[in-house]
Amino acid sequence: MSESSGTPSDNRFGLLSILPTVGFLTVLSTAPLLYAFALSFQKYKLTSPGQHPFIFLDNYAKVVDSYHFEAAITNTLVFTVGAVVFVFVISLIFSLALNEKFRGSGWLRILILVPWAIPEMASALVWRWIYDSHFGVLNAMLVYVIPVFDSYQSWLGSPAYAMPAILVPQIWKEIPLCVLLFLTGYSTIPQSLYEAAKIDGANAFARFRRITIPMLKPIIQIILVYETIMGIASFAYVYILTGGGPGDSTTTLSWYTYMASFSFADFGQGAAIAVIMSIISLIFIALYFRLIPTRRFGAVGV
Amino acid sequence: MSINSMRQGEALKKTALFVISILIIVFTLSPIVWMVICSFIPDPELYQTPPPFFPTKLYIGNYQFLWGKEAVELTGGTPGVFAQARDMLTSVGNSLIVGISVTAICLIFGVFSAYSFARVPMRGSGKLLFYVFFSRLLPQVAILVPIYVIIQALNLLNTLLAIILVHTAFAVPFFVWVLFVYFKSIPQSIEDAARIDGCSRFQQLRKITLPISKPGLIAASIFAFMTSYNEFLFASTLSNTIVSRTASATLTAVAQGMGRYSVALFMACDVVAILPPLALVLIFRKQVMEGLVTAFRR
Amino acid sequence: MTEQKEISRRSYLKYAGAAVGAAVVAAAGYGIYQMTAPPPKPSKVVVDLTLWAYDVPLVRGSADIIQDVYKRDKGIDLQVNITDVPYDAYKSSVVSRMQANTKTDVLYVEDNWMSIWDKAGWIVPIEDYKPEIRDYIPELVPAVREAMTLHDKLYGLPYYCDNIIFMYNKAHYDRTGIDEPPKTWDELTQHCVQLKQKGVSDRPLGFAWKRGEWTFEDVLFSIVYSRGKKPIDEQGNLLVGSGSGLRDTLQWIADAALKYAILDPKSVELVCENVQDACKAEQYSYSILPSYFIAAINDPATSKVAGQMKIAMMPERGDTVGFMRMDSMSMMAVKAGKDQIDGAYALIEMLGGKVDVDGDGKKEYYTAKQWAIKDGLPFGIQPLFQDPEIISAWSKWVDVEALGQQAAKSVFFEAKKYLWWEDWRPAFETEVHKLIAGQVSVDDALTNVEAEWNKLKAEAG
Repeated sequence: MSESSGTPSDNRFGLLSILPTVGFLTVLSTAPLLYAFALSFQKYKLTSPGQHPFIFLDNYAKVVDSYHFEAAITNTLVFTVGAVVFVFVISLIFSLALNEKFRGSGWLRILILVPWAIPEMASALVWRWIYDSHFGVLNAMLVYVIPVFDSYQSWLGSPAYAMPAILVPQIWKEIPLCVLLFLTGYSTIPQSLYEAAKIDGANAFARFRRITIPMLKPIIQIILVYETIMGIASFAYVYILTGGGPGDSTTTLSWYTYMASFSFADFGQGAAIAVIMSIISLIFIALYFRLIPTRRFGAVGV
Repeated sequence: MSINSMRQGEALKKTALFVISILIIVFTLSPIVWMVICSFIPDPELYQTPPPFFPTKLYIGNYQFLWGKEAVELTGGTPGVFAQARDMLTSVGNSLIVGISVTAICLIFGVFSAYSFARVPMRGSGKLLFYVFFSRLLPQVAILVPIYVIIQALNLLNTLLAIILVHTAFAVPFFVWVLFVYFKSIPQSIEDAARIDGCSRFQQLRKITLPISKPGLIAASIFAFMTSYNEFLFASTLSNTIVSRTASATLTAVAQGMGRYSVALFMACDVVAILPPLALVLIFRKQVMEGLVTAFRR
Repeated sequence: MTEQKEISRRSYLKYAGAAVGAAVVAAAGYGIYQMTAPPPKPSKVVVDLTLWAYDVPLVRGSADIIQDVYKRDKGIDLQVNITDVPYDAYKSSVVSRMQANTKTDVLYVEDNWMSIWDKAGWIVPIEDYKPEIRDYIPELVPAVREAMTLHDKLYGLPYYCDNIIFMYNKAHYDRTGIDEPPKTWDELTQHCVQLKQKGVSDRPLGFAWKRGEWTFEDVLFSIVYSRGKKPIDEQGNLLVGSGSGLRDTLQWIADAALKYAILDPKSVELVCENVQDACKAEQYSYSILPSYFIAAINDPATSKVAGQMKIAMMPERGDTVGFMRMDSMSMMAVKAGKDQIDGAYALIEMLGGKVDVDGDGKKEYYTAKQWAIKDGLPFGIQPLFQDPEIISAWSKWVDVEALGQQAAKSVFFEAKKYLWWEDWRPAFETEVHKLIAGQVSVDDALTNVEAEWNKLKAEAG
């Protein structure tokens, strides 16, 4: 049964409801974005005050040519892919376990929400202390409790360890939400499908592959998109834990944007990097929609 | 399938569940547990190898400092440097004010918007919906300076209002989306019945939809609150006076002014900062889950 | 009837005329008064100070004093508003403030940023507006004066000025049987090898070389200067050829890290306080840091090594890098007019110069002494090195005479005056990290940093 579309009172209601939100977002979200976008085509350096000519793609050329760009792109991709993959896999495993009913599973379902509740900054700081190369507890564990190493390692100072080190807090924080999403996804799959499959002789793995995964497509899509955006935009951990180092092994695009805007005081360059980050985000999102076609983004059962 | 292999399967499953349970506990709790332990140890004792894993005595000096007592056992630096930590309680209060205000604004405007998107047929509503989501897709670092300029133009620097406005802009898209999906999942028949009885849209919303949407509303509100409480970049850039500093901003200050030494005091600050969101999530965990579940159920 | 009317009309006109006449006279009188009377004093001047959060109560104390003094001396209400931000966020917050034109009259400026902020038109040569600031020049430490001067004009008064000093653990030396601190950097390497062999310390040398750490370049280039070499030439070119100070220094660092394994690779993630704590826990035998950290390292209450760390002159020539942080005046204050300039300057003088605090006619470096005695912060004022109060306060943790000797050999690090200095730092730090990790050779590292220097130099025009 469909409503008659476009009744005057409907239109009025709709307009009144949506306009404040849209207007608000336009002022505080879209306008700054457009401003940043425009900025990326201008020369806006601290050392040339008052002169902001349009220099078209010069900022972009400078960014791509810069000392930090190659590392920034590589690190951002590594970080994002790493974050998405690990969050996805670990959340999947955890959620499958938590979907079962066993003693304590209720408590565990509560526990799993904890990392999500902790603010990024609070988490970054305790991780900094955990990773401390002179007095940190991770080192203490791996040297005194489960002797894996002879001496304290430098987690945030070795090129090999630094990237994994900043991935861990990111993964830690993002898992709860994805576990939740998976769990809700499981609850939408009718048990009857599983029963029928069991009767047909399918084992657990086959059931998982043929029923669970396909039915979860919208959820998987949401998780992939959201975690990718979170991964690309992630800033707190580089900021607090490594400062972009050692060397440039943890210099990501978001860190580079911050450096360009506030360290180099070249807002044109900073804006250009931000635009590049946005383009990368959009490319990933487009990829996901290609690879996992569903009817509509996020709107299940429309 | 033979009984034996079924039993083996069962045993395997049980072991796997047990292992994963341990992993979950260790994984989720270890940073928090260590944070709490460190906050109850006097600072000089932390700088040892190995650190005291299980302190025999609970030292409350760090918390007393936050509550206004005089300088405690701190390594290095001079007492004046730790003044930032004293703001911790005020900042948590500020964060709560901001979070609640953001949630309130979202509830007032976001509910109507989500409802309209979900139920009211309007030309272009799909495009507008996408527009609302879109703002969240792009990196926040990019708009830091433009937002600063706007807030300055409105003469709102160093006020909580500025942070409330900016955080609302961040929280609204997700809020609207969660409610949109939630409302969509409510069978239309109930509302249609009310429509036939002559209810206006507004009355429909108020009398029918909202009462049965409580879990969704709570879930969306919690998300909005969390988004706000979590945010530190804009909060610390836009206002940094004691009156208007949020918990995350003070933590940033503390980390940089103080995380270089006196880790114990800093851990105490951290614990205080995480209590409100933790409590919120633990109290409302049911609604959070229900909100999402109902939204996705066909 | 008409007569009455006529009379009243006439008297009316008379009165009106008289009123208008009086008004004209009054207006004329007022106009003359306005032209000749002195302009009214402002009732209030508000000065906005922005700084990083280090012992802000001390600054607030001084601000309160200058408010009283200003009222006493000039009869004007002065109000000082303080906005403090964490140190690591300070630079970005000033950038934001200036972009958005947030009222800022006085601000802390670091030598690293001075050139750029001047070019951006944010800070001003105070000399141009308050020539009396030149009276301070004879009392400033020469390296500090040089640092605070741009285009031959003075830009501020000193807040915190320090030098990189060389400290070694004498107890470790006694245990190893070494009598004297090293006279050259190669000798230092030998000493470290001995310390390592004797089992006193596995990696005796630790540096605070995290990306972005504020003393990164100050410390590294103090090694260059102590060899008696300069890192850049008169034309602003980076000197990296064979025999250059930077080349020898990077070679020394690479050898220390990789060949002799005496330099702790963890240095790339350490900030000053981490090195300080490691020294206190006896994990490092040396500390090459600003002298400000000695207080904590030698604090008997918290340090294992209290009394063991001694100052020695920097090896070889003994020159070291001195750096400064100063109080500057913003362009905004200048644009706001004479009263604002006066108020801002009064605050700057309170924070970095001499003020007659108690009205007895004697001016003293009140705030600088507070910083020194209360927080152990060194200063940029020559006479204070002889101040008995400061000497007695400091002698608890440091040999003040040795400190003075080292301060006398401090040099201003000229590279900071170039506009691309801040842009170059991240690239330089990255290369040093790679050098320590063995990912790049000394030659390649030098090639890379020189290329980046030249590229940025060309871009700056």
